[in-house]
Amino acid sequence: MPKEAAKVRPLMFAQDDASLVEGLRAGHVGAGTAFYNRYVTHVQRIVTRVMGVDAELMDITNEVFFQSLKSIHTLNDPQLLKAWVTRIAVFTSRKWIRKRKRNNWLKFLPADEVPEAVSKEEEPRDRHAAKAVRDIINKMPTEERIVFSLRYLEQMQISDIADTCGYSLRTAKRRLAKCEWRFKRMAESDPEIAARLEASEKWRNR
Amino acid sequence: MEKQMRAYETLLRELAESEERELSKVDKNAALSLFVEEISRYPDKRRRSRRMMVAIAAGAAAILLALAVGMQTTDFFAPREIPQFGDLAEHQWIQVGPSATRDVNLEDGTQIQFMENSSGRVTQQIKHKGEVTLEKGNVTLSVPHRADSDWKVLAGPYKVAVTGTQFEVKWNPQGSDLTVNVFRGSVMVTGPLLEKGQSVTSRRSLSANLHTSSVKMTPLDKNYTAGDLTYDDVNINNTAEDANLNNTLKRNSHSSTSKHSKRHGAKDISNGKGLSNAVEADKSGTSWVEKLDSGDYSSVASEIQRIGLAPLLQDTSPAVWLRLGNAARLAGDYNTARAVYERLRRQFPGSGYATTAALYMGRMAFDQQKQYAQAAKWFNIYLSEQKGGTLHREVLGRLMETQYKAQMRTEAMKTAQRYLEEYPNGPHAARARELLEQ
Repeated sequence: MPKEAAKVRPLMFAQDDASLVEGLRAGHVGAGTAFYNRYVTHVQRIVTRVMGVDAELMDITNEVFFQSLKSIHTLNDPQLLKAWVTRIAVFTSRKWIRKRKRNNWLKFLPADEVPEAVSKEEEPRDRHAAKAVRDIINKMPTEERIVFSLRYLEQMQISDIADTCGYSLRTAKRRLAKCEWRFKRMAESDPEIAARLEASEKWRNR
Repeated sequence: MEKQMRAYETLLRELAESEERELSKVDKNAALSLFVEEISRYPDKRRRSRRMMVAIAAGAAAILLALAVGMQTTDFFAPREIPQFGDLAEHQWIQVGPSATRDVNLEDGTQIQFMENSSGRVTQQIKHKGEVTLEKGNVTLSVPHRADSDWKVLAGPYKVAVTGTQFEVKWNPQGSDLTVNVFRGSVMVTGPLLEKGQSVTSRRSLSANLHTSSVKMTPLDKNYTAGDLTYDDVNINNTAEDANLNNTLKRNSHSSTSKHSKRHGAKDISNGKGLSNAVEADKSGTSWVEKLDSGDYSSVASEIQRIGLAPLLQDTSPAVWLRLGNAARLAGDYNTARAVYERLRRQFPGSGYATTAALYMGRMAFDQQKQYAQAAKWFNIYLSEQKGGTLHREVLGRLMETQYKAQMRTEAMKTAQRYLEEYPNGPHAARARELLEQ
């Protein structure tokens, strides 16, 4: 494809989700592209909530859309397309996290993927703290990490989390309680977060 | 947010925001081309997992066999067909060089011809319905008439809709210049200066220029040809009709100038007949629009008092009404501001302008007039008309405060509850909790 192709505005599938699903089921590339355009922002946001800003975001996003296309025939109610895509995004992120954990015991990064050493002096304090929060979330067990991210970063209701993750409401609540407890414990022992909270407290009491 | 997590509320919000900022830098178009490429490679994609398949085969041959038998009954792995337009794949970008043309002939008889120095692409969403995006240059379409035909040409901010006709569209992005030449049938053009849509019928030419804010309808020159399209030999005298039409277009283009020129970064200028009168009446030599632009709201308010609302609002766009209302509000002329906003809501019910006017009336009642019950009414109206949106969270918080100040305790608590459900980390969350705990 010529380089200038990026300038062309992608065409939108003007119809509603039901027509879009019909087009996807018919295997129409136009509908596939429209589907991608309509939900790419949402999918990338959900994936980022669960995984953080990830170098493989593009691949994960494509995986989500590919899985969606493959299983579009299992969607019973086309009006629930967005919730269904959200669910696939969460499931794909979960798969990705587990895959990484499995491969993590022996990991050699190619030279161009080795993360740069970050100078702490260059980063503002707030960013340290936010990064520390992300590190804590990433250290949580996979299921707790997902529940926590969806609740506190995406601000989803607990019933929606249960639907998205395929849990019962009771399981979702139990997992949420457990991940809150875990987060709090880990956050309390993190010097960056503690310093930030202390600073906020001083500011509040001023 | 649950009790034990409140201390971390700000940190979590910061994390979410910083990650969203990072995410906004991701090039989504790059992802799209990757995805389209993936779709086209779909039949081959499964081969890439051959290594894994070998491992599975070695470990669980029986399961694989069962799967293969199961899959034979479905078309799960059937290669997907990529729609082709002759030798052209759907969505493929087309660029035509000098002294060349590119033809795209579709099965339903639709013929598309990209002329020299043109670029764009063609998509066909479903049978007899599709879109042509013209990036620059000119394209001709010959669409056979069918009841279910629905073709569109997108050229810059313009949309040319057609059911069955032969026509040419020219678009020059540098000059923001659109020309539509219709040889047979008719098309409907919508876009800046033509917000309500303009029908262009057989043997007529419509040209619109965003830089000069002009729209013109002329008879098509008999000798004019575009690719394979030629002038239809029937003589029709359109001159008188075109003259009337041009008068209408002139008025329409004036009335929508404000909106489109703003979009194109130009200065907000004339707004039609009412405005001309107003400008003429201004002895100081400065029009109220210029005063509005310069932020001289008290002068604008005086002008409104002097000229009167009716002539000012005549033939002006709702966007200008909103600006006038804001000018009066900021100048402290609340009665005039309310009159403008209320008139806007009456004249353009259900529009985004009407909803925004409700928000401004709420703010005026809250901030300037301290009429909290009134403010609550308008915030409620705004929230009922505007589902979601960027201001939803702020207005919901404002509504809660307003109801509290208006001694509407039950309503305030309900709003606080709603706020916490929708935005547990929002800026009004702490206040909402306080209210509920009281």
